[in-house]
Amino acid sequence: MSIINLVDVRKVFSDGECYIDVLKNINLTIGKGELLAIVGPSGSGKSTLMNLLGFMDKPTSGRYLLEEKDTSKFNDIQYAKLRTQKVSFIFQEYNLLDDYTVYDNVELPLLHRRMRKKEKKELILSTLKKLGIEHKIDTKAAKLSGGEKQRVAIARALVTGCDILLADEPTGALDQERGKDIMDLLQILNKEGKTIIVVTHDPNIAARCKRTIRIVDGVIYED
Amino acid sequence: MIIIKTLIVQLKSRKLLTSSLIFALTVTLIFLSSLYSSIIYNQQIFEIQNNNYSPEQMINYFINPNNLNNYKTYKIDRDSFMELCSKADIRVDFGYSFGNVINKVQIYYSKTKEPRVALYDDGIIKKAKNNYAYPGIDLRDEFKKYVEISGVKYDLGEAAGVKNKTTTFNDSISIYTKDAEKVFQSLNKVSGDYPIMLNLYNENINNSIKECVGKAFREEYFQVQEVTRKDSKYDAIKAQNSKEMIILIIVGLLSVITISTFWIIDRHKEISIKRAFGARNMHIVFEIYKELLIICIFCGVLSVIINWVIYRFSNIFNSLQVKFSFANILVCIAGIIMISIVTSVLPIYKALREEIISGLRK
Repeated sequence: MSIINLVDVRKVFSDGECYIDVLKNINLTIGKGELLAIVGPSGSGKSTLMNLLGFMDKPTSGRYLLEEKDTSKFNDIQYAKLRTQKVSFIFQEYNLLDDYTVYDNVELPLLHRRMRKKEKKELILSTLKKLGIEHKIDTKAAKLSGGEKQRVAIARALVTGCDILLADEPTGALDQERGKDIMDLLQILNKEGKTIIVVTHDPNIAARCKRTIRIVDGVIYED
Repeated sequence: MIIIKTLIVQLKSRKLLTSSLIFALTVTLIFLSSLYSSIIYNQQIFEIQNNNYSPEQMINYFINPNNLNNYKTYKIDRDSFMELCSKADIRVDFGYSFGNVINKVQIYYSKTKEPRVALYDDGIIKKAKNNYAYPGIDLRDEFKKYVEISGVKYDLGEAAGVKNKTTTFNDSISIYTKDAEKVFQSLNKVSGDYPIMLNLYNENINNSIKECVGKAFREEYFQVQEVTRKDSKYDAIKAQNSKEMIILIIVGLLSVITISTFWIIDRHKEISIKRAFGARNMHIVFEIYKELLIICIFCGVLSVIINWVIYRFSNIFNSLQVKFSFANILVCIAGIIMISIVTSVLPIYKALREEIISGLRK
């Protein structure tokens, strides 16, 4: 059963004079529970594709079906809702708020949800426990190591309960060993039923995914 | 609850304190700028009037003993003098029992311009307020000492008022003597930097100082009114000074605008992260204004403290008529809140219009 379906998706960037076709008629179907790697050289459009998949950008044309609902005509509020309920992001540079504690960072996607405080706290604690960083709950993000930061970022993505996790170079800023740990973690989450899409340069990371698509010059070159 | 939580988070992140401190310093800057400009304003009017002064300048002029000779023959009634002093915002004490004046002494040991009152009886201070007077000091002895130093001899007997030679002293000085001019000069020598202010007592006592002050105020003050109406230069200078004051306040407000703009620009990434995790624009706007409000309240408290400290412990304003004004500071804070809210609209709008991805890259 497909969870994501892109039909003839195009993304054009322009600076007023020049137009750059970053994604050209992308057709892609991603099934529920897949662990998918998107690979390709720099500038090939894989991050742009990721941003479209994560509802952080809109396609210039084409249709984006999420759970068979066409999201192409959604407004900003509906996009914001999808970002908190359907998909969640893990970034290469973590994008944590350095002045906030681990707890405050993980709480971020829940801030505008109607939940009891106790319930929220339990959810955050269980997520942090799952990732093995519950002891850092009151530590400021700035004081964490790279691996810990990425775990917090994953916790933040998981706490929403979204089925789709989008990871943009999740191991890019980590050493090999910590990168391996993070990939182990993503594989476990995938086994638990999460759909995980990973953008990566690293062939070793791609090799650990069930499916790999290669993008070259905005076109899916290999699937 | 939301506000308290935000406050705690902000306190944890230390941003609140930093921002509040910056804002508070700006409030102080604006407060002092407006004050400075009003001083310039007064000084310039003082100069242009060719010795035709406003009431407060008249009083300032009078309390300088060097100018005493100018007032020897003037007269005024008590109510007119009170009215003038009231306009000049200067406190004047009319004692009601001059005959026993030595038992009704006022003494101010103060380097500020704000009067402080000491309660006394039989020439000895019984109770002092705010350490501006020293309990247990016999004023007569003190004064005797001073006049001896200055080489002027006066009788400070218990019926001094009757003998017309009674003097009390310090930054509030009451003098009832035919030789007031000399007393003034001698007091000026011994009191050093302390400002001197004349007190007038019972109008039944006919003494030269009272007469001279009155005449000076009445005639000169009304002459000022006359000049104000006739002299177009006066209006031009007044307008010029008002402009200067406005420019200074605008400079202060511009700094507030800059701070609030940078405050939001600095948070572009944070805003983008929150948006990436589902925060809607209205959530962000609400959150920013909530924090801004908290910062302004903190800034208010800090600026009151800063201004009070400057006022209380600094000697830099000794020569100026500065008052700690809670109301003025509140006006400054209200202005800052308004300006911050208005000027942050555009940066917030820009931050929200920015693509999430480009915000995250900052």
